[in-house]
Amino acid sequence: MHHRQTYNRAPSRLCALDIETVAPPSPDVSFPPWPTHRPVVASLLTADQMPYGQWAFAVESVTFDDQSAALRRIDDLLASRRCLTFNGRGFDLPVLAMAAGRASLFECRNLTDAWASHRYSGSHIDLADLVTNFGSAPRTSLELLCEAADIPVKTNGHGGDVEVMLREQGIEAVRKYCEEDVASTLVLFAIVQGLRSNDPAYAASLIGDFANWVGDANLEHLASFRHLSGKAVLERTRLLHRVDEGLRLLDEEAMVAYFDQQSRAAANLSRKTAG
Amino acid sequence: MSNYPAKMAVLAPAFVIAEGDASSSNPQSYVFLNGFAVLKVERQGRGFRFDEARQIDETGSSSVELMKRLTKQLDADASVAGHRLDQVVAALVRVPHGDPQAASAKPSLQRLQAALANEVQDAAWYDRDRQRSLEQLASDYDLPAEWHRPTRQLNPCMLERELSARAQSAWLAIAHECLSPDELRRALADYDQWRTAASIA
Repeated sequence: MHHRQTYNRAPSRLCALDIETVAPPSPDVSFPPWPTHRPVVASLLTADQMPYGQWAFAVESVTFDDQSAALRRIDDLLASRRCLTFNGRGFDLPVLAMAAGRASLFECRNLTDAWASHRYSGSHIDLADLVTNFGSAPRTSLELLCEAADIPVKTNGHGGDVEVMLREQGIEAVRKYCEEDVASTLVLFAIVQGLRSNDPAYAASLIGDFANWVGDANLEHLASFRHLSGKAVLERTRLLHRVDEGLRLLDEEAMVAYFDQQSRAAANLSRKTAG
Repeated sequence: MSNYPAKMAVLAPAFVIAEGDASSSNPQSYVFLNGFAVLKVERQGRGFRFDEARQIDETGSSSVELMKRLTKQLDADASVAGHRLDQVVAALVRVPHGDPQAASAKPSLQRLQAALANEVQDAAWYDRDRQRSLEQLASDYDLPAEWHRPTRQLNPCMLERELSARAQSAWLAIAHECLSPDELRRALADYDQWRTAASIA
């Protein structure tokens, strides 16, 4: 299948992944090469579409005090879900794969599938690829893209501050920062996917349900995402999508009932004929 | 944010969730509508006209019939309003499944769909502290709305009163946010008059 078609199929089970790392400073003050990085926190935001088009969410962060346990948990959460990252193909997944190698953990199939999937396969969606149309536009940062799309981003700090954040505020601050990044990635993905597949209902439903979930789950560090609910056009699209799904399932149910009735009638007829 | 619509139907429904057979290969939960209040508010010249429809199902036998009556209240040119409309609509579209009258619910869903194509208004957008500030607003207007209380705990009479209070407090939240001070004053005067007349009747 052509990669454009692969990517245009909107996924119904997603796991947005982001990691925070520490690395020894590079001599020329540039970003240290990826193999030198050690993960400290990984945040995973899962989004699963339920019947009637509603989304269910969960966010979880793992720390790497016990590296094997952390990697196994990441692997579990990725099972049967499309992995969603921002620049994960170039950084997060190779860093995690090397961590698995160091821990001699070779059986993390979901994690290594996402790492080893080729660029156009669609099993790992790297938003940095998708949004630039696989490099047709110059690469840019999550921060700039989210600002352009009016999505909350990095309200609790920046990637370069992780080491300082860890030293001064502890692992909890890094966890919150990382969770905000996966939230921004998910919302940006909803918009990009909605555009690519010309499907406003997909974007509206994913964004609106996420905004409400953040409020219901009382996630204070993600509170800025709540403002995404209440955009009237988005809300109306989402509600109409719900009714569309209800009508579709109603038709499906009527169809099943009709075929049941037909097969029962056919069975009765053949019994009578045999008799 | 959207403007205050000229004609609005504020929905306050109550649902009962029945869990399906957990041992089956496809356990489903069914959602039954067991009551509603619809507050209809329309601008008329410089004033506002209020009307309300309420119905409670005391038999628990069929929610499709109740849904037909609810959607009958939705005029094609009215905006749909309420509190947490996403949950309301999600529950309404689940109602027919598992009901023997399921197929006859289709026109009701289509009616809902047509109404949702107009502007929508949700009191939750203005309720920054989720339900608490809405409950506060209800109490300011002597409305016995207890949003935190599960409706299954209420007897039919109390449920009817509660749903009516919820619809009214949702409208109050929207009106307070979207109307200009002058319009709000007029709307509240008409609302008071309607409430008094309704309580006398």
